[in-house]
Amino acid sequence: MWDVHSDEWWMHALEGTLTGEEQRVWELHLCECTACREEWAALAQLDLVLNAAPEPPLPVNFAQNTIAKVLHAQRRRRVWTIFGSIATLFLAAVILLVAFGPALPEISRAAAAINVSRDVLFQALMRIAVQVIAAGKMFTPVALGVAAACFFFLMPNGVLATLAIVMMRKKQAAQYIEVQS
Amino acid sequence: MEEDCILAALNGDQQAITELVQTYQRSVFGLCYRMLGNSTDAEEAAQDALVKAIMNLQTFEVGRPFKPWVLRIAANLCTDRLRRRKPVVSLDAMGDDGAWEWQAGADISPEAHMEHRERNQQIRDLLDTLGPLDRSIVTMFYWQDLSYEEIAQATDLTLSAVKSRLFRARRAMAENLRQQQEHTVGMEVKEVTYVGRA
Repeated sequence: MWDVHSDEWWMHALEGTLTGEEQRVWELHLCECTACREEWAALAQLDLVLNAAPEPPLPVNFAQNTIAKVLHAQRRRRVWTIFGSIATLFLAAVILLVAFGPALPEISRAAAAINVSRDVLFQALMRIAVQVIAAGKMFTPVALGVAAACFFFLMPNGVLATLAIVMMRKKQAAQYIEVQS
Repeated sequence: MEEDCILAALNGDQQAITELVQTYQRSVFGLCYRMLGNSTDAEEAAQDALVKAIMNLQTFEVGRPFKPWVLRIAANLCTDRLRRRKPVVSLDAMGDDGAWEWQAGADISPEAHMEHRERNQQIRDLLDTLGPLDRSIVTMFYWQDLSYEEIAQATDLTLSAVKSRLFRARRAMAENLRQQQEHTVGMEVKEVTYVGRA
């Protein structure tokens, strides 16, 4: 049997989970012990007061104001997300710049060299072409040759592949005719 | 049904958000009102709690009860406010107890309004004797109809800790109530004696 003055006993008594025998002991004790009886009455009175408390009225337009706040918070979050992404990109660019900054002059020198070499090569090729045309007075064949080369190199791969297949088939057809004859 | 609503709100569906706010506004405002003791603070705290809950729905475990979760957010916000609160008397907040709210043509009589006000004041005095955590436990137990398990979820305490804290809080409030009543009876006796002498 528990001590009737213990917290556990009181908790069970308040919850109404005492057994029949315990309840009888408890009622007997309340008759005998003034302090416990007064405390029990005070707890019962407290329950009455708290359970009878009026429900606080909701402020006017509470739900509308709350929803407006939610929408505002959502907009603010979207703005911050965009701002954060931009800031992250900017930060990444700064980090790259700091990390590869010392190598930048080298990179730009290399790029310039490539540009110059391309120009030089192109000029040399053009000079050769002009000299060939001037020497042999054969503008049309050279121009046609250059055009054919450009056409061949600039043509999309799919067209080239189709041409190759067509040519292979023609070759196979010719071989087949030869075998037949 | 509630789960669908929560999932829709998580995806930004405004109708679902409205439904969530309308369903839980009374509980959240009620908790904040009992914890903070006045409508102005309670309104702000309750709105903040609902906004915070909706903006953090991704952290809610779908399938668990929503009410303890949202009340937990509200209780934490109220606890922060109570800790930050300075013991000053604000002239702006003097009408918050409803003393100046009654007007002719209102739904209830001035006597009933006065009685409401006195009851609320009595409850506020009782709750003021408790710390923020005990105050939230008492509020959830008496006015939010949460079970011990749900209160434990909402407060992050064990079941036995909730029971024990609730019991001690009730005992402290009962003692306080008894003192209040003795004080009131004493005042009445003094008044009667004074009137008798006059």
